Amino acid sequence: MEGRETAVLQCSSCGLESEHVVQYAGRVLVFTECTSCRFAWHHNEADLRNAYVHDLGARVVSKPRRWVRRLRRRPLRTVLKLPVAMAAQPVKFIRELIAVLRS
Amino acid sequence: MVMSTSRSPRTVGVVLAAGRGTRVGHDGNKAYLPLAGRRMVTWTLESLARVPEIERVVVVVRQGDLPRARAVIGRELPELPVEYVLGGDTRHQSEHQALQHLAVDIGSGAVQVVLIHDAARPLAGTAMMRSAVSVAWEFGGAVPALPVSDLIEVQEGGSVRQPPPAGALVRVQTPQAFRAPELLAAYAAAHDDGFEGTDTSSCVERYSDVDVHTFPGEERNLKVTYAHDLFLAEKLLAMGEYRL
Repeated sequence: MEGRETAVLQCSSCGLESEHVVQYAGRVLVFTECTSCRFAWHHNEADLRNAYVHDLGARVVSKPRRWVRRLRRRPLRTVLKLPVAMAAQPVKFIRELIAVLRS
Repeated sequence: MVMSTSRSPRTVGVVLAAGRGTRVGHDGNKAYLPLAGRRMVTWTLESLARVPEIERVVVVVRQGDLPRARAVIGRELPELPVEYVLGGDTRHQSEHQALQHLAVDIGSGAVQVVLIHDAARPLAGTAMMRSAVSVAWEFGGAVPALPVSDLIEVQEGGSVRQPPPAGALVRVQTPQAFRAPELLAAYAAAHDDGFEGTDTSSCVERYSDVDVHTFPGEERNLKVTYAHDLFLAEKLLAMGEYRL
């Protein structure tokens, strides 16, 4: 799933140093879950929605600047990737929204 | 990278991002987790890159993470020249590998101070790193320390002994910095002895006469260890408007 990473962290519930699932919505951390004992930490619901909306706004505003930067760095690769990247944005957004609403 | 002034020591910043070598996969290393929009290791490296005394940056990675490290750092910090060194199975071995990588330059005097920092401490900030370099250059070694006020000593049977005087016990953090020749010699001696320290200063204290001094650590310089530390680190980065 997009926005999902795994990392070895210490669990504050079972005490084991184990693989954790770390879920993000955009740049915002949504929850972590210990794969050993399933203990999860969640972002506070209202706080998460505020943080996500704030982050989404910041990403939308900065998107043109980020594309320009990529274009300067790797022009051909960026142009070739642009159609796919644009087409993927709605799906990406819906997935993020689902992650936020499910938390 | 900011250029150093003529009187400042020629410093190399070493970032330990290898974790434990017993983990071989490329997944699972918290140093590459996103945090407030960038990977944890990127925050750490960016703070290092802003230190004027630091002329070179070495990142210690494990073999399985090397492609990922190159991709992440190349994408998020394209202007920063980074040297990659493969780490060992332990923190001590990773430090040893980094020092071996620098050994020739340390010998020639091209590297005068080595600053060692954990990738899992993304909130250290530039001021702490500059303090570490300056204290190390003056005294030989520098470790950031915070007072410990909530420790007690429990005797056999469970009774509590009078706590030690305030300031007698501290907890240490990274970045730690040391004069390079003494640090290299200490690690060579430790290697010959088969000794492995828990952190850089423990090895230096045991195998050199270097005067390791403390300087004030910071509470916000947390080490991401527990899952909930990620939430706190994200919040702190956002509160500081991502400026360290």
